[in-house]
Amino acid sequence: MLEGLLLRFVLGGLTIAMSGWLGKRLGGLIGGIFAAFPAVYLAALVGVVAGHAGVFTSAEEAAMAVSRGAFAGMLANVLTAVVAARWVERRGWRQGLAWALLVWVGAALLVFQIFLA
Amino acid sequence: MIVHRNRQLTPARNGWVDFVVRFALGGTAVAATYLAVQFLPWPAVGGILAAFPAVLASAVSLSGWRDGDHQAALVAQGAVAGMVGGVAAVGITWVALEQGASLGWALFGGLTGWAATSWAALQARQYWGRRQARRSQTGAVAGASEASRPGNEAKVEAGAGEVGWRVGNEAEVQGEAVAQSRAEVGTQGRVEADTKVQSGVGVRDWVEAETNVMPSTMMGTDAIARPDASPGVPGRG
Repeated sequence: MLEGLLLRFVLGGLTIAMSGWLGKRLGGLIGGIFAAFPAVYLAALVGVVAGHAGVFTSAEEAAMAVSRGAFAGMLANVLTAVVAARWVERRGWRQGLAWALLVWVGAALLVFQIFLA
Repeated sequence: MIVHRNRQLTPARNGWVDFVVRFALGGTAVAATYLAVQFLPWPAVGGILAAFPAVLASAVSLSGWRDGDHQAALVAQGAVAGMVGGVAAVGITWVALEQGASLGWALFGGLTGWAATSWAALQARQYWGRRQARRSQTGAVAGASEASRPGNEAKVEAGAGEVGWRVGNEAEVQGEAVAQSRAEVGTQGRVEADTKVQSGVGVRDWVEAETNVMPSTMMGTDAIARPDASPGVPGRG
């Protein structure tokens, strides 16, 4: 259990850090696109699918459950980026980012509850 | 050029700090998703964590820490296009799985959709930046003209693209430029303005504008007033 969690932490962390590094390294338009690579989603998907036994009947079913929630989270992400852009400028990056992340939690749960639950 | 007031305290500009912050945030999000999907009574709610904006959070905080709030806000602004690509990636994968596609094909479709949508969103953003550049150019000239009136100093806020338009750079990434115009007494219908780029690019430029002020009306007046006596110039991005 703990080993599995640690393994997912390390593999997930490496994936996200590497994709950020690659985005910078590539630069330009390709780098700009790659900087927004949905690395957390893919790593989390692999992490859940790899350990689906006992909870889901198939890898596809596990992936579907993760994707349904992640879709709500991704829609909320667009709002979060817009909110962060405005509030970081007005209130400073610490407060602005904290509020934007709170908005993310609220918006994701709301979208999920209304459309996907 | 903006000099950060806490330059001594900012982290080094090598890639290691970025790497460690991303690693920690990303690793936490992935591990938390696994835990939530395994142990929450509603696994799909755990899936929300798989969309945690770890990259946005790390990029904004690192940028805010090093370069200040304005630059951090620009980073967040730039992330909007990327987030649209993320919606496409997850949406396509999810719908494909619902339609009975295998995991491999669903992911292939999702990633193809992500690349296409991100590219389209960036193109749209660049188009928007160029459009703003043209508009802000007009706004800056109008503001400089306004500044030449007696007792006025106009603060011209030019939109995203203006500086990039001048130096041929990627304007839409840099955000807004602030031009402060100082009217000179007795000028022959010509106003010069220093343009300071807040994003730290450090471009100096000037705006030339035709003014309608008769030299006689400006005699003996102090043309430079408070910076906040802004006439409300259009063109902010």
